[in-house]
Amino acid sequence: MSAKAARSAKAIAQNIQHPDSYIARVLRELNMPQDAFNPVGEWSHTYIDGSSFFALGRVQGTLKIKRDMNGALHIVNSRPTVDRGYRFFTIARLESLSDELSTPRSWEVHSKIAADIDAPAYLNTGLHKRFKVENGLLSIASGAHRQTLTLKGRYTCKHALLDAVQRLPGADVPALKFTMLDEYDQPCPDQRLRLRCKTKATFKNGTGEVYVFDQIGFATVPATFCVDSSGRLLAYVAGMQSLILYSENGIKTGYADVDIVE
Amino acid sequence: MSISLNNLKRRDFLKGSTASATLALAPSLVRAAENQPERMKPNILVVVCDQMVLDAVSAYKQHFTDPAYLCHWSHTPNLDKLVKGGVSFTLSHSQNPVCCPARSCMFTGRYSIETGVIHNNIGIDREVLNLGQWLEAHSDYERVYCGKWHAGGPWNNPTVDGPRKIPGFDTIPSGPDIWGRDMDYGVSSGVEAYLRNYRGDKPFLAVAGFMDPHDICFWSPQLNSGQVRGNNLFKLMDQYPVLPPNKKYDFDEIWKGSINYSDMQWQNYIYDYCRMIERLDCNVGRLLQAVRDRNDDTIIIFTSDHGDGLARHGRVSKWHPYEESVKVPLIVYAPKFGVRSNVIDSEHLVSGADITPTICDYAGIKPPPNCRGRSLRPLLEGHATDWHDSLFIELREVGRVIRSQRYKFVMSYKPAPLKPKRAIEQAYISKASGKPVEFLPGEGFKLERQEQTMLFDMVNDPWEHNNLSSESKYRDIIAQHEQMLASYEQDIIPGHSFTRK
Repeated sequence: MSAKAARSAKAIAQNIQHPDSYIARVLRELNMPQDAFNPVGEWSHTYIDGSSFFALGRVQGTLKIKRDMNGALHIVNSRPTVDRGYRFFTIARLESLSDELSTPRSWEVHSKIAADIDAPAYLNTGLHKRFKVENGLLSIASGAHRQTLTLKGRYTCKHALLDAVQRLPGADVPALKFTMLDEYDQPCPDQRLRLRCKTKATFKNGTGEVYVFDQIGFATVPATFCVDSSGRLLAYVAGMQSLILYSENGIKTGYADVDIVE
Repeated sequence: MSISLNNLKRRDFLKGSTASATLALAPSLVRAAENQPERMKPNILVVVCDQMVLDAVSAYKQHFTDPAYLCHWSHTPNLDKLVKGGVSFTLSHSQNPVCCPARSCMFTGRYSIETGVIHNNIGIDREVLNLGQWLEAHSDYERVYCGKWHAGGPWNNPTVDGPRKIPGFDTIPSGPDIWGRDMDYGVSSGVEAYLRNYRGDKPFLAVAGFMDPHDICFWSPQLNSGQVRGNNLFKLMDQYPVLPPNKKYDFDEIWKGSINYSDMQWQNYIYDYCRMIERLDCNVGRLLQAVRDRNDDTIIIFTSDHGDGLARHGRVSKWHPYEESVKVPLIVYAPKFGVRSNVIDSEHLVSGADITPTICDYAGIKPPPNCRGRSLRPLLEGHATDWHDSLFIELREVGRVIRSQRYKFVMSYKPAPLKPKRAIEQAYISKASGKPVEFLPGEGFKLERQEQTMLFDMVNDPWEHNNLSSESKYRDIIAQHEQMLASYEQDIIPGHSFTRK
């Protein structure tokens, strides 16, 4: 088959039923974790930021999510820039409920472009925002400035959703409707999250059952979450972005034989 | 009220402008303004996105009433605020509907044949100054750039130093890859932080170059990354958009390129594109809020380099002369600087080349020499002006468009065969002789011109269904437009980048 023909025959990236789909290929490149996983316990996940366009294993950044005993989420997103000396960091701490949306009640976000996570921000790029929700009002503080937004109905943050979806397998949850804050501050209303299917998937180390959830809504290029039967999020694919589980509590999944410094 | 910034200090301006009314009601703001360093020039924020069609702004629903326009399918609350608080143009055009050439024109005010960037992945001719260099030489503006530049060569994002630094600008690092999802949040946060933290005495020009909605390129058959869906995988139901009436058309065209997608594939394509537009809107929202929190005179200019096919004329991507490719949003928001609010200008033909002279005007300096664009300031502030009645647009190295108030005339010279890696030389070398081809001002290229032309009546046929060029009754119209083309070409000073080895 010519390269052109191969491209035109490529399966839909999020169609897990098709062996040539991006998501099926990603799962075949990782070992399904064997340890028990408690989504409401203490855990840490590191995801590789990949892309459905490039070869599997190309790393465009990392996203680390740590859930502590109290249910707080500690998130560090690190993305390289074209300048080898600088990376874009987002460091967030969210006080979340252990509910279906991991609803955050208050959270704090630092972002900067810097040589490393402890280095000073380059060229005025350091930012610190604090968020609190009370009585349906989201207040955002940035320096001396305050902004208030009304949140109608249920809500969560984009990265808190990566935690929340882990508590959905097995739960009798209908389609969820909510507002998503992207990534932590921009309200994206009319989100829908629903179970598409429960199916068998092939991994590097055998086969296993996975739950596939889809998300659509304002500013959301249709997104797919793939979680195992114990709830751990293995992969997230939305348009050109993908997050693939690299390690859980420091134990690597062996994804595409990638080796990064965590 | 007309105010010349050249002879005015910032404090005088605050007394005399529309800002005074606001400040009179807010003593704390007066004190804040008095505590700011004295200067007379506004801060300027330019937001350039990639591949956004003009009609994707939801505030345009009343203007573009056909349900096939994207304003009926995307929701852009932040861009809507810019539209409602400023002046926007519905006859706004890309100067050359592909990334590098369009950006070279936007940041120089010149035509792409003059910047030398007639194709993607070519850098601006070293003899043609960009806006950053011009402001550096003639003003005290701080100049900072973050995000996609793509007018320096075969790379998208500038570095803080070295050969990939944009001359005349400091760089906020971005990238490395070119996905809207991954890159734009960093650009948005980086520029937001700059806007919130900058406390310098000098005014600034900050540029945010977003990738979105360019990701849609990877929904094309050429770059297929498994994104085009021929089924209803995500159960989108009634959220599927109406397909454009010109998806199928029947006329001879100079450049063919329609795509054989099914209706379901097109609907998914357009649905996903609208979500990218909304994602872009979120990133714009951060910048808009930061500007509001500054509570100063920062001017925001929002535009795109080119549009996207979106099934219109069966097309994906750009490169072609139709409205979906050449029309781009252009919004100027400066409520504290005399720019009118809630004005949708559907009368004046404007283009990306007008951005540099507009910024120079507000910065109180002359535009660079041989600037082809014009300052939009009289249109923004509602002053009478003798505006041009046509536009000269380039495409595909040797294609030409003359857009008049009523018609769009399209022609092309016969291009040399193009090999991407040698684009700089190839576009100007004739296959037959192997010798470089000269551009003769007023006559075009030494190469023959193609016989085939296209003419569209933009008033009676806005979706460009009918090519009128073969109808004898339009012979005079075509002759008039050819004359306009010759007049534009007479003034061209070709760039030399394409001769660089």
